[in-house]
Amino acid sequence: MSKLYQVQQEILNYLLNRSTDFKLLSKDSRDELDIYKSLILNSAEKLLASGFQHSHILLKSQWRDIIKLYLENFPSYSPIYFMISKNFTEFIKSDLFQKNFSYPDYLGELVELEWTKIELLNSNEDQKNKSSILNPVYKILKFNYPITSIIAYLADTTISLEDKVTTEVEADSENLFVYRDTASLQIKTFLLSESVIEVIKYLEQGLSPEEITGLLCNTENSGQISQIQQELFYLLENLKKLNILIKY
Amino acid sequence: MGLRKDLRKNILELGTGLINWLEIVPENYIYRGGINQKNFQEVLSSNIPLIPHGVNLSIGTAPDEGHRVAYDKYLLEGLKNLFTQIQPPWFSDHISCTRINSIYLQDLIPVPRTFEAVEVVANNIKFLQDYFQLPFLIENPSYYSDLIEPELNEADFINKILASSDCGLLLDVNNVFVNASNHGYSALDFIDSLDLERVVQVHIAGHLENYKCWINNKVLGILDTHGHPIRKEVYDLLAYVASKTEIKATLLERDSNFEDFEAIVQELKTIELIL
Repeated sequence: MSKLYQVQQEILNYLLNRSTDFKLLSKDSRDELDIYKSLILNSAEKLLASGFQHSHILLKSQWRDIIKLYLENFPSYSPIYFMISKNFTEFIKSDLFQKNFSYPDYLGELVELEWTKIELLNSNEDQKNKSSILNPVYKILKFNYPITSIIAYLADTTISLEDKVTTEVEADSENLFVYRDTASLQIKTFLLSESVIEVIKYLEQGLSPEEITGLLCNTENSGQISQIQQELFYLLENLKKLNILIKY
Repeated sequence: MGLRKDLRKNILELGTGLINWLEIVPENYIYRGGINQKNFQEVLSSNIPLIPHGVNLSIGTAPDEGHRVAYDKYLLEGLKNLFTQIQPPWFSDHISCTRINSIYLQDLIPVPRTFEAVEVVANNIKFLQDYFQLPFLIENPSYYSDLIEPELNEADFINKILASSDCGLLLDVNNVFVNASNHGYSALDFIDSLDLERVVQVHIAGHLENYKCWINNKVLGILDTHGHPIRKEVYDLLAYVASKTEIKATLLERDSNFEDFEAIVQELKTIELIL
C-alpha cells in the first residue's frame, strides 16, 4: 500500500474521529488538520441549516453536536447537495440520532417534509412524466402530526425559541400533497382529506370525471350522484387553479 | 466572476461589459431540474461563455490498490453531460484531496508534496483530460498543513505536476499571498519559481485575517474565504503575474458577502485597470 494512500487513510480517520492510532500524521499535523475539521463542520452546519430550517430552529442548541455526529457516522458519498440532504434525513431517522439527542416526537415527520421539498425542488423527473395529467413533480405524505401548523408555529417570529422548543404538540393526522408549481417552480403544499386522496389516485390512473364519479358512487340515488358530480367538479377546478391538475 | 446563486441577477443585469465570461462550480449544475435548471438556462441563453471550476474532482486522491485512478463515475457522467452542453475551452480543479474511500470531505484537503503524489496527481489529470477530451488546469490551493515532511517545495511540486501531466496552471494570486503569509516565504519568489508559461487563468479574491479555530483555539494568520475585500498586496501580485506572462482569463472569486454589489463591481474595475 502506497505511503500517500496510508496518509490519506489517516487524514480520513482523524477528520471523522475514527481512530486514535496515527503512524504518519504527527501531533502537529493533526492539530493543523483541526482547521479543516472546523471548516468542514462550519460549512455542513450552514448548508443543512438552510435546507432544514424548521428542524434547525428546534435543534439549534444541539446543532453542532448533531452535525458532528452526522459527518462522522453518515458521511456523504456524493458532493451533490440533495444527496447530502437525503443522507442527513437518514441520520435523523437513525437509532444513533435518537439515542443521543432530545427532540419532539414530530421531528421525523418535519424532517421528512423538509427533505421532500429539497428533493422535489431539484427533481428532473418532469422530463420523464410529461404524459401525466397531474403535476409531474409531487409526493403525497401522510403524517401523524399537524405538520403544516407546526411549521407555521416555528416560523412565527413573535414566539420565543424557548416556547417553540418546549411546546408539546398533540398527534393529529394530516395528509399533504407536496408539489412543484409548474409556473413558479417553487414547492407548495395542499392539505388532502382521505376522499381527495382517493380522487388523486384515480387521476393518477388517467380516469375521466364520469369514471371517477362512477367509482365514488355506491348508490343508485340520482340526487347523491349529482351532488358527488358537483363536488368533484369544484375539486377538479380547484386542483387546476393550484397547478396540481395540468391537463384535464 | 464566479456564478453564484445570490449574484446571478446582478451579473445578468450588468451584462457583458466588465464580465465577459463566468466561472461555474459544475457540481452545482448537474442532475438538477426545476428552478435551478431554469435559472441556469437563463444564464446559458445570455451567451456569456461558461468555464467550469470544480472542487470535487479530488485529483490528489491515491487510488485503491490495483486501481489506476480513484473517481466517482456518477459525478463524471453528470459533468460530461454538462460540458457537452456548455462547450468550455477548458476546465479546472485544485491540487487537493476532497474524497477518500469514496467519502466526500467537503473541503480542500492538501496533498503531501512528495514524488509519489506528483505521479498520482499527474495520472489522475491524464485520465480526466482523456475522459472529457478537454484541457485541464490545476489551481495552486491555499493550505494550512504540510501533513508530512515535504520532499519538494511548493513551486517544484506544482511544476512537476504541470510537466508530468501536460496541463495548464490556474494561478490563484490570493492563495499565493495566503500561503506566503502563513508559511513565511516570499510571494514574489514563489511566483518567479513557477513555470509561468503554463499559466492560462488567474484567480483573485479576498481573505480573512486571524481565524480562530474553535476546536483548538489556535489562531491562523490568514484564512482563504473569498468573502472579503481584496487587499492591495494581492492586486499587486496580479499586476506582477500580468507583467510576466500572458493571462487568458482572470476571475474575481467571491463566495459570500454579496450585499454590496457596487463594491464588487469596483473590484472588477480595479482588476480591469491592472490588466
